[in-house]
Amino acid sequence: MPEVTVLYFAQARDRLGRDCDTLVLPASADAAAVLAAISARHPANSALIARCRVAVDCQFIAGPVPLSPQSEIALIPPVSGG
Amino acid sequence: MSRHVHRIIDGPLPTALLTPAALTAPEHGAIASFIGVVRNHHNGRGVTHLVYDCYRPMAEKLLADLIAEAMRFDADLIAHVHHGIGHMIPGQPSVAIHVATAHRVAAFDACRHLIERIKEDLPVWKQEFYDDGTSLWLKGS
Repeated sequence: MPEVTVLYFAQARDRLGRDCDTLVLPASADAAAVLAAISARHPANSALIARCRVAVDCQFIAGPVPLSPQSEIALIPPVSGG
Repeated sequence: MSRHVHRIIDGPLPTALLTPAALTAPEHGAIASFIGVVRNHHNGRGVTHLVYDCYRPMAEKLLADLIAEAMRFDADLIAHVHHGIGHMIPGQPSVAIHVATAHRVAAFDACRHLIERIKEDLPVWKQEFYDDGTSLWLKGS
């Protein structure tokens, strides 16, 4: 059960009031498991969190990926670049 | 000249990045460009300025991935893609895409593909500030 850093951006950072958290996650987790762990930490913002995607080491994930304390996890709200 | 250039830039894009001058190659007969510019209105509201947030390491990597995707239109394409982040005002350029290919259809298709994929996946977020003093993070654009 590695302890990993989760990065927050844009509206997620504003609403959660911080730019990162340290969470304990399973050694293998999919996007749903990561989102559930973030929601458990911030239940008042679960609706926003559910609309986000998850990136691990700068790649979007859906299915399970291995996690380690060195993994960089990011909560990605709906993007609006361009 | 580098064939594939992609970079996140602090602030609005400098004028030098708005023209495809560096893309000329004798085997390429077509250059397509797209420039995205900050608008002064959105949904009937006056926009005074924007702030773009960015997950920079992922954005830099994803731009490289998107150029690799665009190579399906022409494996020999030249592509230069830049996105500005931070504070911008209406009229300032936020994104510039230039693609050179052997023929025009591939240039148009690859350029369109790059901007549409940026809109879908690039981890960049636009916060609009309005003339009534409010602001909003946009959800998709």
